[in-house]
Amino acid sequence: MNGGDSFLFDVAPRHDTRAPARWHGHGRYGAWGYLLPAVLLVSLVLLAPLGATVVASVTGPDGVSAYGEVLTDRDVWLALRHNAVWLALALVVCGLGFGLAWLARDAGPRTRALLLAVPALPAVTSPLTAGMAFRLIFDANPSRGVVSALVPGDVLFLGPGWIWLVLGLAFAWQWTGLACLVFHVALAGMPADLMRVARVFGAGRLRRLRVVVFPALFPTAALVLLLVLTAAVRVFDLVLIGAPGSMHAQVDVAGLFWWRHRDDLGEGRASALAILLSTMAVAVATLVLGRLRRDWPEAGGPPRDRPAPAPGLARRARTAAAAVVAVVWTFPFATLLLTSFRSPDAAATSGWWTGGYGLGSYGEAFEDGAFAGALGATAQRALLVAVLVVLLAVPAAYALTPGQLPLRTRRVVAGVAVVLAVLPPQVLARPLGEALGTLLGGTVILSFVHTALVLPLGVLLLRNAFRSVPRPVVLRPLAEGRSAMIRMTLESGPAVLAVAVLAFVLAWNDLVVGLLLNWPAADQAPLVVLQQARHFSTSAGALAVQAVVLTAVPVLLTLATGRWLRRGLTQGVRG
Amino acid sequence: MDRRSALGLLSGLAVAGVAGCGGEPPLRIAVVWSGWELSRFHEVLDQRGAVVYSAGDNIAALLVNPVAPAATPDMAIVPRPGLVTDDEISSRLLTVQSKDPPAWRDLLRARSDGLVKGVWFKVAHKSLVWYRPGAVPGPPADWEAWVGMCEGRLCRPLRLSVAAADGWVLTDWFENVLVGLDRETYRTLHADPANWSRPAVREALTLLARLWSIEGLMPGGGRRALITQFHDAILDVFLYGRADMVAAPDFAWPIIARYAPGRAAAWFTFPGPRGRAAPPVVAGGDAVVALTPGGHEGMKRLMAEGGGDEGVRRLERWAGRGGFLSLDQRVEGYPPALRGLALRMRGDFEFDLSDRLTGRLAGGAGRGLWRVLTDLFAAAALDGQRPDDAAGRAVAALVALAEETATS
Repeated sequence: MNGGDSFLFDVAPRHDTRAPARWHGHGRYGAWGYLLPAVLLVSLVLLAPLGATVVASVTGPDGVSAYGEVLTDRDVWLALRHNAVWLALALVVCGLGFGLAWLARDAGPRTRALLLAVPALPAVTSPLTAGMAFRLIFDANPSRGVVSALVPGDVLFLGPGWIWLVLGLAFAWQWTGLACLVFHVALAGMPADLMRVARVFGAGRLRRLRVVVFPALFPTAALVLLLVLTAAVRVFDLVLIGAPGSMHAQVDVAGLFWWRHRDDLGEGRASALAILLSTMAVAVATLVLGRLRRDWPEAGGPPRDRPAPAPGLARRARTAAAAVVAVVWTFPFATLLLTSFRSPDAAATSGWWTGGYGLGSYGEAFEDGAFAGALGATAQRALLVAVLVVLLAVPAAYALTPGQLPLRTRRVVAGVAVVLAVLPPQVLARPLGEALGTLLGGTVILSFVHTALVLPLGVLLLRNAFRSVPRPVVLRPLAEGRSAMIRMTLESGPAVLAVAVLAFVLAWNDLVVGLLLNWPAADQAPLVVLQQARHFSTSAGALAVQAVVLTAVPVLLTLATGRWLRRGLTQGVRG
Repeated sequence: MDRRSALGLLSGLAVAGVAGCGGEPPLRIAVVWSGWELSRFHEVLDQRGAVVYSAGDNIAALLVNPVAPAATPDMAIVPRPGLVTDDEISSRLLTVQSKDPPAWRDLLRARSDGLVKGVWFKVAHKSLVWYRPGAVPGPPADWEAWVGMCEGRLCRPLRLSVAAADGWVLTDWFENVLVGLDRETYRTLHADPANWSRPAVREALTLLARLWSIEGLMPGGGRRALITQFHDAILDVFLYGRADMVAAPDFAWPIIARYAPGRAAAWFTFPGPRGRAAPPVVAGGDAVVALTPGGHEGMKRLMAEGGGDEGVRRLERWAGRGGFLSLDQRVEGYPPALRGLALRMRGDFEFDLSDRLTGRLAGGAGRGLWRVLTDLFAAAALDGQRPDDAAGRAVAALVALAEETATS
C-alpha cells in the first residue's frame, strides 16, 4: 500500500485507486471471458500459423540447417542488409520528425497547424501510392518527370544507386509527419518549469536537450520508433512499385525476396527466412519496448496557448520554413492529382506542366470495371475489419485494466501484443493459405486475417485509453458488481473511434495480405492497381486516378474525424 | 459492382429463379489481362452474364490449387502452356476439340495422357524489329549486317531502343539469337537443364553482350535503357524519335497507333547468323481452357467454332486494333502493318522459351532468366565489361540456376 498513508496531509481530494475490498460479480474468470474472443482469433490466425512456420522451418529437408543455408545465401544477405538500411533510415526519419516538431513548437497557431497537419497526412496513404507519386516525380524522361526536367545533366533517378534516394524520400515523406506530430504532443506536455530550472542553473542548450528534453521524450520516442521501425522492416509495396523491374534485384528486401523466391527456396528455407524476418521485427520491437513505459503519449491537458514570439527575423524565418515544408509535403499529392486530371495520352507522353487536362483518365481507370469492383470489395472488408477490431479489442482492453486480470498476466499479454503487432504477414501466409485454401477468395474470410493482424495494436491503444479513465467514473458499476466496460468505452469514445479508423485505414491500404492470400478473387484495390502498373508510364493517367481515389478515402476519413483522432490517440479520454 | 459480390449475387438470383426461366448461372472467366487488353477482351467476349476477372499473375495459383467452388472459373485464359500440360492442372481441365495447326495443338497436350486440353485464343509474333522507314536504309540481311549498321560501318550509326527494364524483353532478345544459332539446343533447354552449359548458349549471350556494348547505340546510353520499359522504348522510336528501331512483338502496334498516329512504321524479322537458314519465328500465345461443361460451351462460342460469321467478326474487333493474331484463318481485317503475320504463325515457329521455364529459371522481376539477362545487360551496356567475360558470368549463373532447378 505504497503512499496510502500520505493522503493524511493531502488537502486536495484523492481517489482511492485500489480495487474495492468487496468484489461482486465476475472474478478473475470473468476477466478471462473478456479476453477470450480476441485470444481465440489471434491464436487461430496468428499464433497457430506462426507455430506452423516455426515447425516447417526446422522440419524441411535441411532440418535446422535451413537457417544456415538461408543466411549463407548471398542474395538473402543482401536483402537483410537492405532491411538494415531501411531501419537506419527510420531513425533518420524520427530525427527529422523531431526537428520539425521543434520548429513547430514556438510557431504561431496557424503555422503550427500547417506544420503538423500537412506532413502527417501521408501516413494514412498506402506505400503503393507513395511509391507511385515518387516514381512520377522522378521519371527519367525529362519531358515527363519534373525533377529530370529541372536537374541539368544526365542523372537517372530510377537507375542504379539513385533509386535508393527516390525510395528513401518516399519513405521519409510518408513517416516524418507522423513522427513530428507525436513528438509535438510530447514536447507540449513537457514540464516547462523543468526547462526554466535547468536554464537558471546555467545548463547550456545541448545540455538542456540531453538532460531534460530527451529523458522526458523517451516514452514518446519509443512509440514513434516502434511505428516507423515496423514500417521499415515491413517495406514491400514501396519497392515493388517504386523501382523499375530491372532494379528489383538491387533494392530487394527480405519480405520481397521471400515473396519472389518462396517456391525456389522450398518450404523449409522459405519458412526459415520468414522467421528471420519476424525475429528482426520482434527484436526491434523489444528494443524499444524497454522504453515504452506508456503506450501513447499523454498530452498535458488542452494545448496551451503559448505567448506568440515577438515578430522578428526568427519568426519570419520560421513561418517561411513552415511554408516550404507544407509545399514540399503537398507536392507528391499535387503531382498525383494533376496527373489524374490529364488525358491518358498526355499523361503518358508529357509532364503535368504542359497542359492536356481533361477527365479522360478517370474514364479509363474505371473502364473495365475491375477497379470499381475492387473498391467495393475493399471498402466492405475495411468496414468489417473496423467493426470486428472494435468488438474484439474493447473487451480485451477492458480485461487489461487494473482490477481485472492480475498484473503479471496483464504484462505478459501486453508484451505478446507488442510482439504480434509487428509480425510481418509473410510469416503467416503459407500455413494460412493451406488452412484456408477452399475459403479464400471471399470478402469475409480475409477480413478476419486483417482483424487479427490489427487487433494487437488496437488492444494496446485502447488499454491505455481505458487506464486513463478517471476512477470515480467507473467505481459505481464496479461496486455494484456490474461490468464497467460500457462506461469505459463511452468515456473513451475518441480512442475507440481512433482504433476503428486505424483498422479501416490499414485494411484499406493493405497490399501484402491481399497479394499473398486474396487469390483467386484478387479484388483488393491496391492489388488491382499493382496489376495495372505493369506498363507504368503509359498507364500513368489511370494509375494516378486510382492512386487519388485510394488516397482520398483515408485522407477524407482522417480529416473528418481529425479532432477526435487527435484526442483519441493522445489523451485517451474525454477532455 | 465488386466481381465477387456480383458473382454471388448472380448465382443467388439464379438459384432463386429470378434470373429468368433458364436460370443459367453466369459464365466465370479468369484472364491475365488488365487495362486496355481487358477492355478489348470484353468487346470480343460479348456473352451476356459472363463474369470476367483479371487474375493477373495469380492465374497459376488459381489453376494449381483447388479453390472454393464459387471461385473456380468455368474457363481461363493462360499465357503459359506449361500450366496446361502440368499433370496436376491438366487433370482438372476438360479435353477439347482443337482446330489449331498440329505444332500448336501439341503444345497443349496433357503430359500424362496426351489429350488436348486447350485452344489458342491469340498468339504473338516475337521476332520483329520495328523501325521508322526513313531512318533505317532497309532490313539487314543477317545478324552481322545488323551489328554493322548499329556500329555505323556502312551508313550513319543506327540507334536502337532496348526496354531493359522489362525482363521479358531481354528474354525475347536471347531467344531470337539462340534459335538462330542452334535450334536443337533451344528446343531442349526447358526440359533438360543440363543443356544450359552448351556452347550455343554462351555464344548467344556473347553476341548479345557485344551488340549491347556498342558505344552510343541506345538513346541516353545503357543506363537509361536499363530503366526504360517496353512502351517507353516504342515511344522512343515512334514518338520522340530518339532511336531508329526497337525489337518488339506484334503487340507493339497498338502502342504506335495510339501514341504516334500517322507515323509510318515498318518491321523486319529478327536476323539470323550469316550463312545459315533464316531462323524460325519465336512465338508466344494465350490459350483458353475449360474447367466445366459450361465453360466448354463458352469457349466454343468465344473461338467462333461451328462456323458462324458473327463469331469471326467479333474476334476481328480485337484483331483490327492490333495486338491480336489468330490461328483461325477466317479472321481477317488486321491493321495493314500486321498483314501476313497471322499466316506466318501457322508456319515454322518455336515457342517462347522463357514462358516454359520452371523452378529457379522461371522469370519474374528480379529472378530467374530475367535477372541473369538484366545483369548481362548491365555488365555490357553500363559497366563496359568485355562481352566474353560478361557472357561467361551469365552462363555460370544460368548453369547454377539450372542445377538447382534439376535437384529440387
